[in-house]
Amino acid sequence: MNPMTAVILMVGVGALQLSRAARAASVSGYMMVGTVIVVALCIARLLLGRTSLLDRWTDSKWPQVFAVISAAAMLASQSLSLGAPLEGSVSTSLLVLAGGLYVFDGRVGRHDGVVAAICIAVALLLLPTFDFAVRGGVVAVLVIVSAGWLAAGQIEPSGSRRWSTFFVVCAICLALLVPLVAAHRFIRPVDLNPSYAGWVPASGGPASESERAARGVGDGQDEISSDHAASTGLDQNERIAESSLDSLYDLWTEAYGEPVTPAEQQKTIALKQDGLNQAQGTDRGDSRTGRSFDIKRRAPAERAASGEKQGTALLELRGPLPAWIALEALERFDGDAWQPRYAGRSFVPVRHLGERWMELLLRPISPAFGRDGEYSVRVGELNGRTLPLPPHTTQFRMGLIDQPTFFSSDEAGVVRLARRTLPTGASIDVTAKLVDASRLLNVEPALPAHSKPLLLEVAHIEPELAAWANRMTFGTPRGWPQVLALMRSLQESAHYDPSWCSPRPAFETLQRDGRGNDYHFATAGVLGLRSLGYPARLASGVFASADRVNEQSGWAQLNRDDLHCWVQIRMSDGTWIDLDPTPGFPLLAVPMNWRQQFHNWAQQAATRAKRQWVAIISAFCFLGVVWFGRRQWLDGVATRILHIRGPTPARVARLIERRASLVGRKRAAATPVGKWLHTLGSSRSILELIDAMNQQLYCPQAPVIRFDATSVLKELSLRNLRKQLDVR
Amino acid sequence: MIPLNTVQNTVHACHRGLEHAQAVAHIRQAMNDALRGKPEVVEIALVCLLARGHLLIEDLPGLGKTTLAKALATAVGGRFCRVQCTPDLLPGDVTGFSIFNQKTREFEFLPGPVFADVLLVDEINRATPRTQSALLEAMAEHQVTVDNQPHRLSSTFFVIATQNPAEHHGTYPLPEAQLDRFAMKLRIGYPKRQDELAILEAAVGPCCEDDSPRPQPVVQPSDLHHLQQHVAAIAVGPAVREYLVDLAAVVRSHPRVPLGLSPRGLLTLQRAAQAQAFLHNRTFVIPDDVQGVMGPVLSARLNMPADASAEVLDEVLAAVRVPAWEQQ
Repeated sequence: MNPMTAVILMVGVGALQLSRAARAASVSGYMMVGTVIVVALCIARLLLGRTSLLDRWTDSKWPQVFAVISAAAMLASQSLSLGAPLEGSVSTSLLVLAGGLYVFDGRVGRHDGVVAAICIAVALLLLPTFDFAVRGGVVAVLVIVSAGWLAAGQIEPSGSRRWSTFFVVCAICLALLVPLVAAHRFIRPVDLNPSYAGWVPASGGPASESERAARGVGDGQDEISSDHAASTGLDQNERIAESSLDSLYDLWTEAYGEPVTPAEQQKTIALKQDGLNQAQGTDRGDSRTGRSFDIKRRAPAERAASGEKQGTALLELRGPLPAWIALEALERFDGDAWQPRYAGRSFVPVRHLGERWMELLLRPISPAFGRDGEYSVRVGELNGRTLPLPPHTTQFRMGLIDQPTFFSSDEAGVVRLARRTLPTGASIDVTAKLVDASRLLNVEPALPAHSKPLLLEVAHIEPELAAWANRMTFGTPRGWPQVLALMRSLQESAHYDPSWCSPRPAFETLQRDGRGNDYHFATAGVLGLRSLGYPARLASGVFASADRVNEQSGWAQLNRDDLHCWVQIRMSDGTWIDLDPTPGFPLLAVPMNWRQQFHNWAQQAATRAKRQWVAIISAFCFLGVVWFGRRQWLDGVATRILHIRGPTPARVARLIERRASLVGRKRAAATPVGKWLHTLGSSRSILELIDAMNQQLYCPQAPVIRFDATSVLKELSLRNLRKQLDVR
Repeated sequence: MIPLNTVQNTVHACHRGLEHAQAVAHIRQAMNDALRGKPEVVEIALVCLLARGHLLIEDLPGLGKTTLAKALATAVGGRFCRVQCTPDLLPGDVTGFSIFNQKTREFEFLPGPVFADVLLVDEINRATPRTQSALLEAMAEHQVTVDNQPHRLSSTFFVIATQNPAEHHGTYPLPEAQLDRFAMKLRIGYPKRQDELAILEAAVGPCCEDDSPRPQPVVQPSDLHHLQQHVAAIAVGPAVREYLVDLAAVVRSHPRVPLGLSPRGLLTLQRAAQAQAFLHNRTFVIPDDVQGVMGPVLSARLNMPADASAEVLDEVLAAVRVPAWEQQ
């Protein structure tokens, strides 16, 4: 028994649990203490390693103690970054490794197997990757194994455990447990008796497995109705209709006979006027007494289609594509939805240049702009006042309008007709600036001095979304790399399903359902950018994709399917850049040279290292300790396996050969083992071992010669062999 | 309950084992007394005797070849004969011949020196090939054929031949067929300083051989026969057998070896290994035994100088992996 093993492991694990529960500042205290101990011990060991004490250290238990402490410190530090399951898995497996190696130190103890099983079980319980039930199953098996080990040790207290006993105990326990686990895991009360459905509020299993399970949500036919919003189970009436008992209809038939089925042309005559009014209370128009009408009710027939109708486009466009044509820009988010308009002062946004060309007064000027783009727009059935202008429009000409006062705008920058809706068939010629992606690095997404604080409003952003955005952009430098990293993460976070509807908030929908429409993606993108401190807003309008272009006419026809939502981010020079976080839509690609990429990578690595320095130092300490003690551990594992399999002379001799090769005294293949063992020593126990080994290897039918394995292994321990080598 | 006969057999086996060990110890002691300071040579000679092989001693004159042979012959208590080979030695001088008995009016066979228990053939390379080949049948089949009449030799017939490597003038080197009949070839070498001092000290006093105490036989030829039977029953495991075959294969494929180990040589090697195991009080052969007797057995067949033979031996032993953990 290694009581120290258990104590140290339990302290480490307890620290983790405490810190998880409390999530308080005391975690860092644990972490600091553990790390300082590990670092100090490792430095001391490195310093002492220059003296002859190195051997004593590596032969002692200290390396293993260090390993365990270091692993515990890693766990403690891991508790700080709870959201990273990978690190949790790594540190947990390190704990398992440390515990296992510590136990496998080559000495036989009755309870070592139990300690190892407990270590692994506790580590698995903490492992965040697996499902709770899977972890529970593994833990149960481990407990059984340790119980079997204990039982075998109790039955054979001499130390020579009988594997048969061990396996029998394990088999019995497993035979008892597996049906229980299976019943718990796979069979629900509803499966056992269908009539439970609806009365047992546990159709989805226990609440420990899933929050939704207790409400019976997502159970398909077994789902029951509840007060949960997502519950769509049958209500009371439906339950009766679905039941296998006699229905209400049958009871009626039994009492009053078969209901009368009216013939096809059977007619009846209306009652007198008074009776009708009394029965229905209202006059239905044709209330002539004695009028006849069909007794058979008919559903209202659909109107016959009057020939195929041609779908009308919202608008038609010609020019450089793709283009995001914003019809609405939404900046205010109240935690539930985007508000369509804020009360702002409207103004005349253009001036007349001549020949009906209108120039925007607030025309964008940015170093990110490249050449000009010429667009032609034909208005279809937009039925709104907003002009469908491509982004970064500088001037436009609409029909015969030559008065700037026909147009109005507000702070959102969207140009509208002042008094009427856009007439169908109107034609607009537009000149707009095109964004050159290679110049985007010249501008930074940032809030200009005069910008509205509304764009950075974070009051209604879910904490989960902010944490997620932080995690996804962890370590990336601020600016375009961070913005694009978030957009890419959003594109990869869920599937795009244009028809997906959900009552949940946008980000929660994406996370829990794994799918969402463009509104969900755009909302999550804007709020994520705002949580990171970038001014952003939601734009809705029409997305003009290049594949909408009619090759013959050269015009892109955009209809209702092309209505879209996306993100606009504000540059420091006041321009808005369109970003589309919806999967499948083109995302702005900002090209970076190798120097900028290296800078990004270095900064990312530095940030990560800075935040997780404890884990990194602990990992290095752990690896160092593993490296320095690798011979002991290898030897310990081999020795333990030897004791488990039974120390026959040949196995003992082979273990000694392994030890010798670990210290660089490998036996040549052409040297007989006995002769080689003679060179290691000539004590009585070694000679006995040589005789017994020779007999076992070369005359296996002869009875085994007794020998003292313990004293031989002690005399030819790793340490003694190394000493012999040093003496030579 | 153990059956009584099993117990009796076990007791007898133990008793026999004890007797055998004592007999070997006595022979060893007698030979060590005769040949001072050369226990390893005595061990090889003993191995050869117990393995029912014949011994070829190649060394300079005066190093104790004859002394060793005589001591061995005396110790095993059999009849000892000696043939001093010269170019004019005839085969009949070795095997014996038939003469006409005037009284009985019949031919009588007069057995030659090969009908001894231990035959010392001194300076064998001085005999003509005709005489050398007369020894072939005797050594290989323990019988001689004279006038178409086969005559059995002693069951413990043991040949110790000596030859002088320094003189080449007027010698007939042994052919490979003759060499293969010998189980082992060894060199005695000069004794150590302390042993030479002891030899000198012991020689002061007695003026002739009769003055010194004559060595007495320590075992009988029948006992030797039992010993040889016991040695032949020493177990050789499959792993060791494979090791023997591997060694033979490597020897045969060695570039410096013109004629490799024949199957008769391989059998000799196994018998020698059994004898070696017996001398180490073991009832089974281990690779150490094979390696211990490989040198003398191989050098009898390589027909090359001692240094070159040792090099080949080292290369062969280093090239073959000793069976150890394959069975586990």
